[in-house]
Formats: sequence, structure tokens, C-alpha cells
Amino acid sequence: MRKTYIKKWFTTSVGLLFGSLSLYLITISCANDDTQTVANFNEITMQDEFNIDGAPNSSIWGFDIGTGNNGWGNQELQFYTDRSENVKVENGVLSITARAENFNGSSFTSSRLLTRNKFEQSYGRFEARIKLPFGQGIWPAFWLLGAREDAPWPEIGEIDIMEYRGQNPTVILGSVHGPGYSAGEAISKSFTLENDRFDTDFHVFGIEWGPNYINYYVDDVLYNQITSEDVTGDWVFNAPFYILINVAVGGNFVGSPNAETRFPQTMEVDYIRVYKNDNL
Amino acid sequence: MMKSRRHINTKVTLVLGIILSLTLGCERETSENVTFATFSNDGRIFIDSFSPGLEYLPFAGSKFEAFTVDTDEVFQGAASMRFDVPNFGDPDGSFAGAIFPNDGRDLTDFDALTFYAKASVAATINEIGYGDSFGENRFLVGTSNLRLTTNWRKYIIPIPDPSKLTFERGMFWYAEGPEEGNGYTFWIDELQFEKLGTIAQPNPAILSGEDRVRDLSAGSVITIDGLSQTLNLADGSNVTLATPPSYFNFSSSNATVAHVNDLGVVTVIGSGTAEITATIAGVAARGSLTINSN
Repeated sequence: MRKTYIKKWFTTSVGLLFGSLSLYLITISCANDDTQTVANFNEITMQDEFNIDGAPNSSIWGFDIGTGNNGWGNQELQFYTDRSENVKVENGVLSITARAENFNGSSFTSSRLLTRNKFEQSYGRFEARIKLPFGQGIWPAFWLLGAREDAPWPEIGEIDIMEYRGQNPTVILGSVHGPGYSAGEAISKSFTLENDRFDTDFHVFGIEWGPNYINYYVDDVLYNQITSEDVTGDWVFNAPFYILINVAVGGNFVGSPNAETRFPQTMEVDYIRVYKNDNL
Repeated sequence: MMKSRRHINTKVTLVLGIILSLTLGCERETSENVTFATFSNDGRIFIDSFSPGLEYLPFAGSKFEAFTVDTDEVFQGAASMRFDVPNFGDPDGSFAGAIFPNDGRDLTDFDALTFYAKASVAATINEIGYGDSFGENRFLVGTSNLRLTTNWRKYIIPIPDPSKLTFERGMFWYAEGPEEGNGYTFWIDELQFEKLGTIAQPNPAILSGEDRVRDLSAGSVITIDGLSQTLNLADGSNVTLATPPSYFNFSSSNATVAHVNDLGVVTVIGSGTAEITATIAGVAARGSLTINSN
């Protein structure tokens, strides 16, 4: 993964300016220095590289539409749609765009994609390469929910691979929610970028997940491990989960946008890849 | 020539020294007129003492003795800069203010002027910034009403477009009068230009971000004002800086109707319609002036 990422970065940044020979040398020399300990699973089970323009691939992605119950449980302000104004694939990236517009009684629109009933998996490596938006009240997330339908949230379990407050452009959070440890009581840890921020370039957000543990990483930094010992209730993560990716506006995690929040705000997703836990 | 320069700077920040030589080699082929800056790229102004070449020039009418080096009250290291703002009516000068010029540095690798500051009482500094060298001051930036507390705190004054600061003499300047008639003391330490890497999302504006329409006749001259650059900092705050025209690239949509110079001065020369717009570092400024001339 890391090799691919570096190569891509150089290709897009400076590749055209130098001969392919020098590029090759640079790439190799950097890659040799990497300790690739953050990601161990390499057998792909699902990937979307977002290389076909238009609507997202419907064999992988469905949508949550509307405002849910009480703003999807968080007093969020947006109305989710599947319109191209809010979600589209173009130039190799999935764009999810939050807009300030009156729509069906809401003041904002955006989009939330999910793989429920299309792709669900227990364990493995879930990873996305994302350039985040910014601004007060903007709340993007790349996360998983338990696929079981015989229980309500939070019993089903929630794994937040990346959550971010637009007013904190250098900080993301990785969390789990379950019975007895949800919402404000979630088991959570933040990761801060030094001398950089999440809304100016792409970064890789991922977990490696196995029985009774979840490892969280950003780019090549493993910054947290949550195990069944760490949670203050039942460990509900030894089960299949599905993927969600969205940009919310407002809500109790970020607060409302203010006059300085610039719209539209777009989250760009270069790829989403899922790998099997091949230790099992 | 300006384009070539910016090109180089972008790449320098991206890659390492080994690539620099390649880059320079490539660039040289594009123009024989390109010259490369050999000015100091030292960002330090006052860490524990003056950096090499730095001078101190008080403003006329200010208290000349307002600035001293303080070895007792420091944020870090051996010394800080101490500024004694006079009381109202002080015969030595009614305010404290000075510029700190040197013989010119290349600041293109930095994105902000930063420093730690505290005051003897909670106070608000009238003006503080960089780019004033008692010269043309084409790139002068000042923050108005900077609030100080009685504890050391870090302050950040971003640069609207660092690629413009290829040769800047004005390292630091300030002007501050009494607070409600009373003098006080403030200290500044670790004063330097830094590459923070967390200053982003530029949002420049001309004409205060408004799209204006004016009916003018040939010969009219009008200056584009309301110029600013807004940048977002790591703490999520947006900083808006009054920004001199030299940071902008102005353009006219119809050069037979109106042209605009580097200082944002528009001259109407023919009949028809022209729209004046501007960019900073390739980012379109909000606001425009549409001229209808007949």
C-alpha cells in the first residue's frame, strides 16, 4: 500500500517534470526507508478506485436519503440525496459535496453512501484515501456499522475509521461505539498531523481488524489499538459490518456552520479498498 | 519571469536538494533572463538576540527608547524584546513604534511571521506585522488590534502569498499607543518567519468581495480597493489580512476597453464592456468591477 501511495504522490506532484528514470530512483529510495508495519493484510476482497465517471457503482453503493430520525440521531442539518450535485464520480475520485441550499425543508444537502446488503465483512483491513473539506460545522466520516438486523444501535456496533471536525483541520478521530460505550462515551482517540492538515492533500485512513482488536492508522502511522479489554461493555465487533461514507453538516459532534463556513464543501475519495484478514 | 520564479519555489518545497539541481537545469532552458535569488533565507528575526543585519528604526514622533532587550522576562532562551509603551502626554513620544529592516531576505519558503508575546496588562496592539522598510512597502502586512494577555501566547501572522517575498527588507514593524491613556510593557520572543504547513484555504477578495458595475467614460481612472486575503489556520480560525495590490495579479477581460496595472489602477480607454478581476497565487479573488464605457 505504502509503495503505491508514494509513487502516486510523486507522479501527481512532480512526475511530469522529471524523466521517468529519476522518478523511479526517488520512489525506490523512499520506499526502502519505510517500515510497513501498519498494514499486514494484502488480499483484496472489495475495492472501488472510482475510475468510471458518473454515479457511484450501484453494485457496491446504496444511499441513505433524507434526514433520518432527528438528523440521523445527531441533530444533523443536511438532507441526504443521491443527486449528482451531492455525489458523483469524476476524474478518478468520488466527490461528496455538502451544499447550502433549501431542499425539502432542510438548509443543507449532502450525501451518504453505504454498502449495506451489498458488501459486508468481518475483520480485515478497511482503507480509504481521502482529501477532506474544512470549515466550522462540516462533519465527514468513513465508518462501519454492524450488519445484524436483530438489534438497535449501539448494540450492533459502530467502528469510526475516520471522523473529522471541519473546524479542526489537523485532527481526526478513530472510535468504537457499542453497548455501554456510545456517543459521548465512545472509546476514541484523536490523531493530529504535524506541520500539515487534512484538507490540502489526500491521506490514507484505515483499520486492521481481527478477533477482539482493531488497529487504527493514518498514512504510515499506527496511532491506536482498541481491544476487547478497552471497552466498557460487550465487544460487538466479531461480526460482519458494512461501510458508510458521508459528509454531514452541523449536529452535536461539530456544532452548526457559521457565517465563515464556505460552501460548497467537498470530500474527495481516491479509493476505498478492503482486504481479508489472512491471519484467520 | 514571475511565473518562472514561482514555478521554482513550488518545486523547492516539494522535493529535496538532489532534485533542486535538476529543476534549475530545466528552468534555465526556458529563459536566459532568469536570475536566482542569493539572498539570505534565514527566517529568524529575534530569538535571543538580533539576527545578522537587522536594524532598529523608530517611527517619527514615537518614543525612541521604547525598545530594549530584556534578559529577565523571556518566553524561552536568554532574552526577549521589550517594548515600553509611554503614558499619554509623555514628552519623549506619544506612542511606541518602529520598523526592523535588514538588507533583504528571501522569505518564499515561509508561510507566516510568528512570535510569542505577553503584556504587563491585557492590551491590544494597534498594528503589528512585516513588510515595512520605509521604502515602497509593496508587500506590507499588518494585523490590527492584536490582543495580548498577561501570559505568553503564540501569535501567527500569515503571508498572503509567500512566493512574492523573494527579496523583503521589512522583517517586522509595530505601532502601539497607550491603553486608555496608560502606558504599559509588552514582550515579544522567538520572533521569526516559519513554514507552519498548516496555513491553507486562501480566499482573496477585491472590492470587499462585491461584484460592482460602473458606467465610466474613456479617460476615467479608478483604483481597485477593498483588497484582502483570508487564510485558515490550524486552530480552524480564519485570518483576514488587508493585502497590498502587489500580492494580486489583476486582469481586464477586454484590453481595448480598460486596462489595469500592477497596483490595481484601472484606466478606461475605449467603449464597450470590460470586467476587472484578480487572483493571488492562481486563486481567483471574490469581487469584480464591470465597466460599461460608451
